[in-house]
Formats: sequence, C-alpha cells, structure tokens
Amino acid sequence: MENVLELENVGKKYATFELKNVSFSLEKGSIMGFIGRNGSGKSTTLKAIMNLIPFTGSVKMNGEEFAKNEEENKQNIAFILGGVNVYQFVSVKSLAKVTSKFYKHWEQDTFNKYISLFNIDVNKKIKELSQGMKVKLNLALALSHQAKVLLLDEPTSGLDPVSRDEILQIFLDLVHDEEISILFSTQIVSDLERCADYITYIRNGQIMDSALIKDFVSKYLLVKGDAKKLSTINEGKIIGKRIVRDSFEGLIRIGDAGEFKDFDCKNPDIEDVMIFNEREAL
Amino acid sequence: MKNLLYKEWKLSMTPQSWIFLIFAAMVFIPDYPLVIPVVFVLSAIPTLIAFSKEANDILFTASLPIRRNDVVKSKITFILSYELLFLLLVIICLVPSGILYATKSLNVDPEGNPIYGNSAGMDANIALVGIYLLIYAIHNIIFFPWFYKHPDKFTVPFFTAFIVASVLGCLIYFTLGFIPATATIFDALTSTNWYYQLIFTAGCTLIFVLLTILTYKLSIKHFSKVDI
Repeated sequence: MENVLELENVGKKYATFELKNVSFSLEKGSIMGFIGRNGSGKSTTLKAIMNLIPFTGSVKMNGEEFAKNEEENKQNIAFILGGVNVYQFVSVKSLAKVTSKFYKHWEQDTFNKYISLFNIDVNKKIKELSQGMKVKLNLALALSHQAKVLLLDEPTSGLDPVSRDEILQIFLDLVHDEEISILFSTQIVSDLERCADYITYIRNGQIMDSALIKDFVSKYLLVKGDAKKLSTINEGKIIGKRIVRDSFEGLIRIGDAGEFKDFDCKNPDIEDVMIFNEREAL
Repeated sequence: MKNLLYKEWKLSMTPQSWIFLIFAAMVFIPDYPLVIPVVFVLSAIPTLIAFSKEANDILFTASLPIRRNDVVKSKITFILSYELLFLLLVIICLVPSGILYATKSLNVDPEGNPIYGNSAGMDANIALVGIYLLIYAIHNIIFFPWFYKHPDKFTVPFFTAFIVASVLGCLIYFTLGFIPATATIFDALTSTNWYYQLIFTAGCTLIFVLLTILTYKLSIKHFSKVDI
C-alpha cells in the first residue's frame, strides 16, 4: 500500500526534552493511533509534520518533502488540536466563511451536510459549543475542504463516552473508501481498539514501535506468578513488572516465553504493553 | 494576501479597536498638538495582539494552507492597514479642520492681530502625513521583529516601541512647529514653501517603506526559529 505520510529521523531538542529520530509511515486509507505518556513527544511530532516547529529530519507527504510544497500539502491535510480553542467570540458561520476562502476544493454543501448531521447551530459562537461539538465542527471544516489526511491531537480527550463513540464511528466511516487517512494521538487505549489499524508508540521522544495493532501486542506475553519465584528466573528478561503482595505481573517478549513456562502466561492488551514498557523506563 | 487580510479584519478586529479609530477626529480640537492622535492609535495595537493571542490565532493561521512566513506577513499587513486607515481618517478630518482654523481665529498676538491655525505645534498640512508615517515605521521596526522572537510575550516590545516612537514623533512635530527656522515652512497651512513640506513627506514615506520592508524581513527571520 501507498504511504501518504513518511517521517524519517525527525528530531527536535528542547532544554529538558528531545525528540529523537522519529520515523514511521501512515498508510493511505488507514487509521493510526499515536500513543505515549503526557510529554512523550506526540504533539511535538504532529507539529513537526505541519511545519509548525523547526526540526531536523524529513517529513514527506505523498513522496515529496512537506515543507517544499507547504501550501499545496496543507490543502490536503487537516490539523486539529484537541482542547485548543480558537476565536471564541466568532460565530460558526463566520469561522467557516473565513476558512472556506483558503481552500480550493471547499464544498459548502458538504459543510452544510456535516453541520446538520452533527446538529451544530451555525449562528452560535464558538465559546457556546461543547468540547465535543468543537471537535465535530473541526471535523466538518476538515471534510468540507476535502482533506485527505487528518492529523488529530487527542481529539477525544474530554469527551463523554457517547460523543467519543460518535467521533470514532465517523473516523471508521471516513476511511471506508480508503481515500482518507487518519493519524490521531490519544491517551485512551480503548479508542485504538475500537477503530485503529496501526499503532505507533512513543516513549521519551523515541518511537518504541509502529505496527499493525495485532502485531504490536503479539510481540509480548503477560506473565503472572508467585513473587518468591522471581529469584529463580532471569529478571532482566522482564520488560516491566509490578508486585502486589506475594504475586507479580510482568511483560516479556514472546521469544523469552520458554524461560517462563512455570508461570501463567496470557496475551496482553495494548494498555498492558504500554504500562509495562513505561515501567521499564522508570 | 487578500484572503489573509480578510481573515484578519473578520476574526482579529476587536470592538475597542474600532473605537480607537474615532480618535482621528481629535484634530478638530482647537490648539491641540496634531501628533497626539497617532499615539492613541498605537495604543490600540496591544489589544489587537492580545486578542489574537487569546484566540490562538498563530496556530489557526499556520494550519491554513499558507506558508509559515505568511503568518507573519498576515499580521504585520493587518496592523499596517489599521494604521493607514487611521491616517486616512486623520487626513479626511484634517481638511475641514484646517480650513476651519485657517479662517477662524481663536487667538490674538500682543498687538491684537488675529492668529490663525494651530498654536500648539505644526498646522494641519501635508508634512503631518510624513510624521505619522515616520512614527508608524519606528514603532513597527521595534515592535514586530522583537515580538516575533517570542510571540507569547508582547508587553515589553510594545511599551518600548510605543515610547520610542511617540517620543521621537512628538520631538519631530514640536521641533518643526516651534523652531523659527523650520516653523516658517512647517507651521503653516499654506506656506509658499509648500514643496518643502512635500519633499519632507516624500522622504518620510521612503523611510517608512524601507523600514517596513526591514520589519517584514526581520520578523520572518525571527519567527522561523519559533515553535508554534
């Protein structure tokens, strides 16, 4: 399959944090979840893609350097930062009118269709919309200019479960005809299980893995057992563990399963993989 | 740029900033320093910048299909258009106020002869346009390149630019209006040396254009290193 976005060795240095050699690709017509703890570099990576920060390395869109053809590439991309409010005192109608001026492929009918579908009153001011409505408005704006790539930074944060489900269903509908691709960062692992095809996991500014969801979890096993038995095995093989009273729980690589045959093993979910990998980092 | 300017006037203009434009009518105040209204309009600029900051304007603009440099060009052009609109309003008001005070005397000299025009500095003439442009240019060259180093902080750059531009502007205005050698040319409504006023304004316009180009270039250079 064709890649719409390719990041190669993207780097950015701050006084207390560094984004190091971030490389991954977004396949056309797919949904990729971007996970990591707060401050792990998710937003910085998304901002680098949009050329909002100076960085080292390369970001390519449809095979060409993004910054070289910034105006044209931004015609085909929509960037939505969750929780960031713009022009609170402006009406939905005014914001849409201004936005429409910038896009060659703006379709007013499409905007009206989504606004009606999402039940948004165009005469309302932005500040009068709930957080969920703001996300939907941003989606309506993005879809009305025929964006082919959606970059969404925590779009579902702060939303109630019903609104979250609605948004995720919209994502699934959008990629159905394989024309639109979505990269969205999130803290809510269940969102990924609901709709993502791929997962990219970032830790302390470094990409730990970028793979199909089933491949991402199938690399590991979750082991449980008596904590006293830990001394009988090579603890270095355990990626991260937690001890509760007399028992322990830990994550191991699938290749090391042979050493843990005396313990209970089961397949981990995405959250287990993330939590135990983060424990390793502590 | 047309769309960006439309965006700025539609989304970034505040109600207070419209009110500040009314200060152009201050030129009707009799015996009033005609340089003062420009100081009022400069004080509207931080409200425009603060409003944009609150509205996450830079992030919104940078996400539009434009180049990163255009974020800077958009805001500077907007502020320039605001400043020039104010100047246009001042000129529109100066014509009737100039005629009014050229024909109606408010003061008399020690011999009892009527004094026409503005006794608080230069009279309303074309040279005033030059002084306004000079004040704008000085303000903008200090404010914008400094502001675009750290777009989240604008207080110190603004006050520095505001004070320097206002003080220099007033100094030029009162010097030209009160020093006898220059007052004969500049403190006159219908000076026979009117072409000196024109040359002065042309010179100021040239300085305004050159400093404005430098303002754009330096601001873009500084903004290229900024994380949005």
